[in-house]
Amino acid sequence: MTTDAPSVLRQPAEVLYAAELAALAADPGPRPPGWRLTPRAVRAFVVGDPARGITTKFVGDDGLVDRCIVSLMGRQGLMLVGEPGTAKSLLSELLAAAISGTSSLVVQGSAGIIEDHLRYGWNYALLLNLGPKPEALVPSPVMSAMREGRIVRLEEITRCAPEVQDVLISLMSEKTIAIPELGPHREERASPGFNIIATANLLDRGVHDMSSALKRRFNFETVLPIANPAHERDLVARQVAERMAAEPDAATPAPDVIDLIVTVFRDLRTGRLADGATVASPKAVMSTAEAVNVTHAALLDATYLDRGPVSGRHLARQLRGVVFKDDPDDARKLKAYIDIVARDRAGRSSVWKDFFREAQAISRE
Amino acid sequence: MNEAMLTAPVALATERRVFAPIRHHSPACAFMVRAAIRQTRPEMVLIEAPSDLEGFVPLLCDAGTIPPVAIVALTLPNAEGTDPGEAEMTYIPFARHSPEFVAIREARAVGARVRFIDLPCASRHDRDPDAGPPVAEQAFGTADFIQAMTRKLALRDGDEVWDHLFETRLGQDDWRGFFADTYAYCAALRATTSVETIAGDDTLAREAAMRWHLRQAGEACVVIVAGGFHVPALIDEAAPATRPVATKLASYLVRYSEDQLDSRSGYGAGLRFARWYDRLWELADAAQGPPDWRQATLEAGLGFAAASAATGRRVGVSQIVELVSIASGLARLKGREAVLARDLIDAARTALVKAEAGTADPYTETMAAWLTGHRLGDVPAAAGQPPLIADARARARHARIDLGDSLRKTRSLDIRRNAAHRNASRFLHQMTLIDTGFAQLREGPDFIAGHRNGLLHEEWLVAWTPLVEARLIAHSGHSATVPRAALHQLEAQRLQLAEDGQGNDLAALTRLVLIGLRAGLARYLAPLVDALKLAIAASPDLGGLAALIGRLSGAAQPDDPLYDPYAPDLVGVCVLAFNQAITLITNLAEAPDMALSQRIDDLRTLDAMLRGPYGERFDHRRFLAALDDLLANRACLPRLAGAVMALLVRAGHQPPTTLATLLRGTLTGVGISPTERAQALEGMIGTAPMLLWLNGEILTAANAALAALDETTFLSALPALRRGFTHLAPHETDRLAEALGEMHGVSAGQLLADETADLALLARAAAADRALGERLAADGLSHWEGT
Ligand SMILES: Nc1ncnc2c1ncn2[C@@H]1O[C@H](COP(=O)(O)OP(=O)(O)OP(=O)(O)O)[C@@H](O)[C@H]1O
Ligand SMILES: [Mg+2]
Repeated sequence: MTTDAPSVLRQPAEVLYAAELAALAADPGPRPPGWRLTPRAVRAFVVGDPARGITTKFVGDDGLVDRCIVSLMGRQGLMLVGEPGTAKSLLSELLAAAISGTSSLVVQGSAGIIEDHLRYGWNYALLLNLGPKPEALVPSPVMSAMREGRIVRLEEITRCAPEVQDVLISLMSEKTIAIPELGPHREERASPGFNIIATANLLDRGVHDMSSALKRRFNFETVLPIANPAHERDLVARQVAERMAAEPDAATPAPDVIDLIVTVFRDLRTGRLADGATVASPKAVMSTAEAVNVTHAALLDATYLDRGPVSGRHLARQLRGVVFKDDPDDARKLKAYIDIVARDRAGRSSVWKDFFREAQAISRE
Repeated sequence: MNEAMLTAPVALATERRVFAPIRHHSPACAFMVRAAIRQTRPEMVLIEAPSDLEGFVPLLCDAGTIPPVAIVALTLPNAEGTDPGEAEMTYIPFARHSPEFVAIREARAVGARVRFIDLPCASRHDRDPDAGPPVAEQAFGTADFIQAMTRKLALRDGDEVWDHLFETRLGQDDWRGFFADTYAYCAALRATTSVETIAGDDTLAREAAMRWHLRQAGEACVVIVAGGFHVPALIDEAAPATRPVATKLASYLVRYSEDQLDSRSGYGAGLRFARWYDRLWELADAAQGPPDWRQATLEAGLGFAAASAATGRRVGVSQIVELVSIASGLARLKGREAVLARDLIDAARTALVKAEAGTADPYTETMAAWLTGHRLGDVPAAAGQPPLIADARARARHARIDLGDSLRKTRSLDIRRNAAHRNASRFLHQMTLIDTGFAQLREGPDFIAGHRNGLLHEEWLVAWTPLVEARLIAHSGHSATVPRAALHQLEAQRLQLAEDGQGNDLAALTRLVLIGLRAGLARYLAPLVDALKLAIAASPDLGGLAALIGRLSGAAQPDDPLYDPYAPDLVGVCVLAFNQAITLITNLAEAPDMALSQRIDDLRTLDAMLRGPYGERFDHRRFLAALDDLLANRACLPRLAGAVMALLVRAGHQPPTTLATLLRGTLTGVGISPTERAQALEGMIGTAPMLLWLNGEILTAANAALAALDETTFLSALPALRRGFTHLAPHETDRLAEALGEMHGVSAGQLLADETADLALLARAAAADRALGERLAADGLSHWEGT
């Protein structure tokens, strides 16, 4: 991947949906201090409002979105937790874009994060030249958000060391950042509209536990995998279509192909079939996002190698390669699923038959 | 219903007719109904309640009647000798905030006559009580119109939409405008409910009956209090009216509880959360106007905190503040000041949960439970003896138990041979289940644990004391017959399991099913069996599944003492467990060595199903495929491999040679050590010992495996081998001895002469005869040989 690819591939929400945001900004009605939109307009932006031409962006749990918006109106921060790939980052981006007009004030959590990344740093050239002056100060995204009264996003917060999390605690309770270098009482106070959306994946291995002091300052919302299969199918179909817009040769995947991949992912994610029987659930992440990736790869395979429409066999190849590449235990669970569940369905559907045959051939290799 | 009805202007309130389209248990509707009656002062108030229960009006007006209460009506099937346990029970519950209850009392206050106008209970007993709420109620959640409203108002579901549109108007005074709106709402949801759905239960018959009563009212000035769903059909003057036929039935006014009101089923299923709406009603009643919504919200926050603390989860003041502010924020986001039940539940989740949570979490559950409440109502002494006591007495007399005094008596029941005794036993087991203290089993078979199943008699101690009646009264709120009460108790035990985090405990659920069978409740066990099925589908426990299969397949055999032709399909349950077990077989390779014997027994249990009387209902192919898979796993230990291979060979799925190869230790080209060979043999004997005499090649290989062992290894393998042989029937032991004898040139008689139990030892002795002799000789111990 080239270095400039991300800016081409992925625009921030406020750019991507600038027209929608502008339309919603015209809504009358009171806004919480510092908010660009009314709370109802924020909601409409995230969950969509077909009547006004606002697209649906986050699918499946409107009540969750309501609760997030209300939390952000108060003093508490918002902590989005849940399995990987449940659109925590997406939701945080959409909320920030709608409430603050920008989603780009972000700190990406990692072991390398130090306190300065949450407060401020210095431009050393200027610092040497001018001494500790405001011009030499380099604000962190958190400090910028405070100044401007915006939302700052902290991604993967549990990857930060405990000391860094402690900084966050004082930041959240004081809502100020002291700058002793500039003078005894110099500090940056949060303007109205400032708040934090953190995301965390609590199952992630090697993360730091959050202290209860930190937990107290956040309202937690768990983003669950999409509950309704129809919603998930629609989402996968839509996102695959978006990605394939750049590939004029590719044919739109048939509905039964989308249905197959979504069914496989749901079965393995939940460890439970629609009829209640259980299957062993692999450790690999069986998220909706991963289902999109698999379908996308299968589509490329079908279009450029097989020169035909995507079918069960392409999905089988990608599933194996993408999802189960490393873990022999997972591979065994997939095999059991194929031998028992897929075999059964192969008798009733041609896509499943195609999927089953290929999957079985691969597992014999 | 049609479009015309929606658009045509209707006269809800004329000079002689005032329609009040309500929803059951809605305080807002109750308030408006009261205002309507106060203002119009009708001669008559017609209420949607079964006409054969009209006699309860005076009792409902009695000051001693404090809701929640319910009229319980029993309609007995007409056939002679049918079990009264099958009586159809209808509960007509009243909360303090039920529009019907308020209407009855207000009618009395203005001197109006009250008429119940719905179809008599007695004509309704063909309605399936398990079918859930009536169509007229379900429509409030499912009609297309509701779906559209939910989307349009950005709310969660029909309940929230109703609350949002109507409960927020509690205490306002424009009752005409209010009922015009409930009418429009209900007409729309009726218009978007399919004709087939409406015809799906007795809705249409009920409406015809209500219209008949309406016509009977003639020129009198009346207020009609009826479910909003029905009102469009009642206004329709042209529609046919049918005179309902009343039959006799038994009915009683009993205490009811807030959580029972919440159970959403039966006759007036309506709004949930009885405590919450009751409080709103109380606040509105005191204010003679809108309730203080902020006060109600705050009380809910505090009440919730206390309830949560009682379950060991403390809620601090700052968290209560956060909860209340989130709830108010959610209400405002939805465009209203009034905080409603849904907001409180959501707020509990947001403000309290500090971890990843599934769809349910303890805080939302606590909040929902608090909003529901559990207060019991009261009835005056004039309400008479509850039906449950009468039923218990009748059954006791039928079982020839003397109720004349409260002395302790013994009763011996010949439960295997005497049908009347069996029925008496079931009755006593039911009384024991509901903990009446009436009967105590002193001696007898224990079919639940499977002890002393051979005993023919049960010895009971029985005594009808005042305490028994007191206990029965406590149960009469939910049940009118002993079997129903026993069933209710079983269900309570199941819920308790769930509460204790054992809702998926297969052994415990199976036990409840067996208890139900023993108490003669077979035909009512479907819900319990359904819970068991869910637990099976979620079970990762092969041993538990096998145990369950063993136990329930037993009770499904016609010669079993627990067998009951009316029981749910127990074999079907076994099939489900079997299929679930199959998905777990693959993981067996990881089973710790110590658990292996048990797991091998489990496999034998599963295999036995394929050969049992219901064999064709089990999926042979999947079972064998799973075994194949297991065998292919490199981690599969020799003992397990032997067991699995034996099953496959026995099923004809693998040729005997493969098993012989395994026993000889040359399978897959990897030599296995002599010890491991004996383990493979051990495994095989655990699942299919008969292969030893059915197939010469296998017997030879087994012999060789044994002969190759040194003495210590042999002795350590011996107990397991013996264990395997204990599963053999005597004739099978003979067959094996014969086969061994043939092989070694001795007669079976000789082999079995000394010690039949130690067949393994004999087999080994026969096989290693010469070797042993030689060793003894070498040790100079040959003189021991003769002893
Ligand atoms: N409910 C949903 N609504 C919309 N898109 C979804 C939903 N669930 C998953 N997706 C898709 O999945 C993608 C992955 O989302 P995202 O990266 O935000 O997940 P995440 O929860 O932050 O994962 P991680 O824990 O790995 O950081 C989204 O961009 C979107 O395409
Ligand atoms: Mg993320």
